[in-house]
Amino acid sequence: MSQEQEKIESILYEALGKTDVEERKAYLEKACGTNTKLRAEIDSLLLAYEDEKGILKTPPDLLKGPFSTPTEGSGTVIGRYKLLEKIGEGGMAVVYMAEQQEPISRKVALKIIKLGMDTKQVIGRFEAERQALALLDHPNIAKVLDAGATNTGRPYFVMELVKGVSITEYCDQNNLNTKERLELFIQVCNAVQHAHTKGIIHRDIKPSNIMVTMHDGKATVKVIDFGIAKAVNQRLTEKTLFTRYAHIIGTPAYMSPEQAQMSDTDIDIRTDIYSLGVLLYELLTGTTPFSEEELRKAGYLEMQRVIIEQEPVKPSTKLTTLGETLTNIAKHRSSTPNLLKKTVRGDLDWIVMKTLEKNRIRRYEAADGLAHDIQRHLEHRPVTAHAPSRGYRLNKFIRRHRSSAIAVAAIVLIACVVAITISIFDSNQKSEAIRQANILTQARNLIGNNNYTTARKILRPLIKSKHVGLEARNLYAKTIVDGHDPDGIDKDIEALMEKDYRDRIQYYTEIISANREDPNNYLKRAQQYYFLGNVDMVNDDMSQYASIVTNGAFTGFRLSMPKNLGPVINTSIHEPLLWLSDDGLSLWFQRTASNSSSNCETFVAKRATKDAPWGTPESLGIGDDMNSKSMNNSGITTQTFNLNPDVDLASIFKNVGVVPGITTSDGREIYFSKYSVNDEYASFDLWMMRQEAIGADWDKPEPLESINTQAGEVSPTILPDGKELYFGSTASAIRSGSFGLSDIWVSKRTTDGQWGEPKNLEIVNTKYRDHYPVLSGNGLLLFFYSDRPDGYGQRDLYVTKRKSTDDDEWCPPVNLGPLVNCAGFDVGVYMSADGSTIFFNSNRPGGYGGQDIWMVQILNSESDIDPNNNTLSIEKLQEYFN
Amino acid sequence: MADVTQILNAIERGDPQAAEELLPLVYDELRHLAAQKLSHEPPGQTLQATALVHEAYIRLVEAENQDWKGRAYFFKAAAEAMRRILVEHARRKQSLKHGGMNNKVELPEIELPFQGPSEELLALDEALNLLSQQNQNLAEIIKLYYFAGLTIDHVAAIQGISRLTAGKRLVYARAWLHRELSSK
Repeated sequence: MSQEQEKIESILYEALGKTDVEERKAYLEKACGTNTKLRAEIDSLLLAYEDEKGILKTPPDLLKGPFSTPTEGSGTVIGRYKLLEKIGEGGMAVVYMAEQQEPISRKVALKIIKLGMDTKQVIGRFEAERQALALLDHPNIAKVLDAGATNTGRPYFVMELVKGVSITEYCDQNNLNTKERLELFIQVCNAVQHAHTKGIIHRDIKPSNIMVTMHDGKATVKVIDFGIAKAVNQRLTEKTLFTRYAHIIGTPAYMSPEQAQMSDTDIDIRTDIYSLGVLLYELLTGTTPFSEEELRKAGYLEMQRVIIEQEPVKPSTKLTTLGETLTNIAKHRSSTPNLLKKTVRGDLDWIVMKTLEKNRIRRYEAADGLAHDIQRHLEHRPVTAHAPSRGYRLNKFIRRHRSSAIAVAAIVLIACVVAITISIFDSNQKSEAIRQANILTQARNLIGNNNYTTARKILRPLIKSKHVGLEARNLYAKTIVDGHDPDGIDKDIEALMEKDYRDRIQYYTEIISANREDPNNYLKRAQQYYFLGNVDMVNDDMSQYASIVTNGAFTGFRLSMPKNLGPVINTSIHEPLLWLSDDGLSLWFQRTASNSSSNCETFVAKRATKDAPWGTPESLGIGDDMNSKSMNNSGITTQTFNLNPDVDLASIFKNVGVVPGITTSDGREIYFSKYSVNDEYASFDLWMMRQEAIGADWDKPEPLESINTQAGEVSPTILPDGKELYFGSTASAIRSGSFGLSDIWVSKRTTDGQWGEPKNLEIVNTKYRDHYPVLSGNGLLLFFYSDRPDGYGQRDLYVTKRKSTDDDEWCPPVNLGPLVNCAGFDVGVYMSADGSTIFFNSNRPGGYGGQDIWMVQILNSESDIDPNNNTLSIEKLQEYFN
Repeated sequence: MADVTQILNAIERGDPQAAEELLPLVYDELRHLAAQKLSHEPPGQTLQATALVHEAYIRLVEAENQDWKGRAYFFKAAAEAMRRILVEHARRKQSLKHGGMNNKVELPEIELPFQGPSEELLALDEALNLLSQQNQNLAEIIKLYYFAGLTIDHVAAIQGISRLTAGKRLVYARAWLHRELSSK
């Protein structure tokens, strides 16, 4: 927004706030002064805004101008209640402490749907909750006092304000012993029982929903937040349902197995029993059966599995695994470690385990039953829960170890080539294998948490294991690479890993000798050579591969090891590559965090010679977020640089000069893609700009109308003589002749200088994503990325070649190989004008974060792949090989 | 079918084409949802646009605990998609009228803060294009607030601005558009 526009906006807003005619007039006179143009503008806008009949309804939450009610904060009045402060927040609603004056003066808790969540669906749920609560009347349940809706229609209800702390906090703060804790717990059971008799399932029993307050000098439990109403939209998919539950319930540690199962129809009161069990577990031992943190970090699937399958350990056993923290925990229970273990062992163990049964039939039928058993225990009478039978225990054991067996099986699948046969001759070996497999699982979790050093520590002993050695070495290698920590590796491990690579190379070599014509085996072997660092062999294999794929037309490039451009260019966010200047001394790129509110900033970095280091990049301007998302070659998109109106495209490109593949060879036309809005649609479109001479001002951008469609068109790349234009487009439904999710197209210039109808570049396109083409300077090579499955990673770079620019026959595309492509995203690409270097974007390990700019040197001496038809000099060659 | 969550994640990760893929998907989903819902509602019922958009969000995106920054892409695309859908309906309505069909056709009505005949919607759409060229943020706020039916707080969160700034912009944009429309 320009300064002028901002001024208009402010004055308009202020003026609207002054509803008194005289006041407004006075304000306007003051604000506009002698600027009659400004005054006229504001006046006309005021008139237009206050026209009640305009198509856009007056925003009710703005009312007449300034927003008298800020976001709900202290002082806001809702109904009879004045909000004092926010005391809690959930997925759907917010809870405030509020003050009521009429008919009695007291403080209450007011729960109201969050701003913006007031859809019919949510309101429905809210209403159901309110109705459910109105049925409950029990000293241990917080009462519903009132309900209503704000004047904008947002429902709320008012509850008894419980002044206290959560039950776990209360017990710890006051060092309540086990007996006292159990007595409080019985109160919780009573509350839950009451709700159950009214047909209401809580579904979210956890410490923060169970408060303890003082009532008549006695510690009293108050269960709050029967928050999950039953109204659930049945049209949701299973997955969404589960996610909604995880979100709504929000406490995986307390989630029952049937809740984790995702099926909503099956939840009954025994779900609450399970959660009560978890609560009891926590009151007794200070921990939950499955740690909250572990569950959350494990991801939904693993969390599900643990809750549904994994048998928790008995409370007394858990105590023994706690190590040092046990002293503290015992202290909070006015006890000592040994005494506490003794107290919990036996009856209490069995009571807890009964409530935590995976099979709910085996749990207590009612909260009453649970309360009674605890009562009996307190009175030293026999309890109904008891140690399970032998057969039952055996089944449990099998269940406990089933997951390890799965892990072992998974390793067998993962082991890429060298098959691991776990020969289980005796139970000792079997349990050892299982033990090791568990360690691998631990290691994977640690790696997932970026805890590389610890992962290495536990993996080390397994490096040579006959059961899991290969996978352990793989994981170990991962910690080195992901952790950017070459010091973590030592000679022994390196040697072992090298042996792995060699084993695989041998394997592939054998396969190749049996079948020389399958290009994929060369691709795979090349990758192993890459891990060994043997560039020559990588290139040999890649040449073989390319030769087979293109039937001898193209043997691809011989490349050097990839090199990151370094921290001057690369930062922890993404650096989408644009291009290099003709002389190779300026590098154009962008930086973007790709978060919604971050911007896409364009930079130019310069170097004195092609061997000199890059200088500090200079910013050319910041674009708008969503509109700047075309993050690849020629992909500067910006509707306008809204945040900085003085920077516009013409100025960003002003000194761009001649850029092979992006501008024509006389530098007078430049092609780019931009998010565009017109009469018919809004999407990325191709545009161009013309200038009279290099360095002159650019003319106004023009859209390529004969090419642009409702689909997105991006990454235009043009021949030096401007006769052909290639571009990528996502849009299968719109362009007939499309192959896949995105395709590459070519348009030729007609005799009258217009762009002809685009044709699909069939040889290159697949049913997958083939996108973002970039031509080399002489128009004989076309680079692009693809996510076809026979590559190395999620996006790989490919290249295709043709004999001359009059030729339409491009050869089958060739993967650039492991020196460029990694397991992740390899996307932006640009070949330097002198044909010596390929620059590309990748998030391969060893970078600085996000998409970095890397480069590889081209080592070939054959002139047929030299884009400028210059043979590389002998000196150059010698340089590369030294 | 491409997974919208993946696309949103991909936008996060730096996938160049993810943003392009988002809009058509959201568009499809919203149209689908609108048609579906309307076939179940008794005739004459209105659809709450916000509900549509939120439901599309829930159906398409799996991680509900994405913060507002992460959701912004989706809602912007949804606002644009809603605009397309409404403009299409308005056009169809118009062509039906002129086609001389006398029987009342129950065309979907989506509850939005618009008032007046549907031809005006088409004029609004044009005016909105004009506004876009002048100032993308203003046009976007109109789309988010009016076409997606989101609240001013949502809109502020999506655009990454304060509620006050959002309000000011909304006022300005609305005034501008009304003026543009009345001058035609």
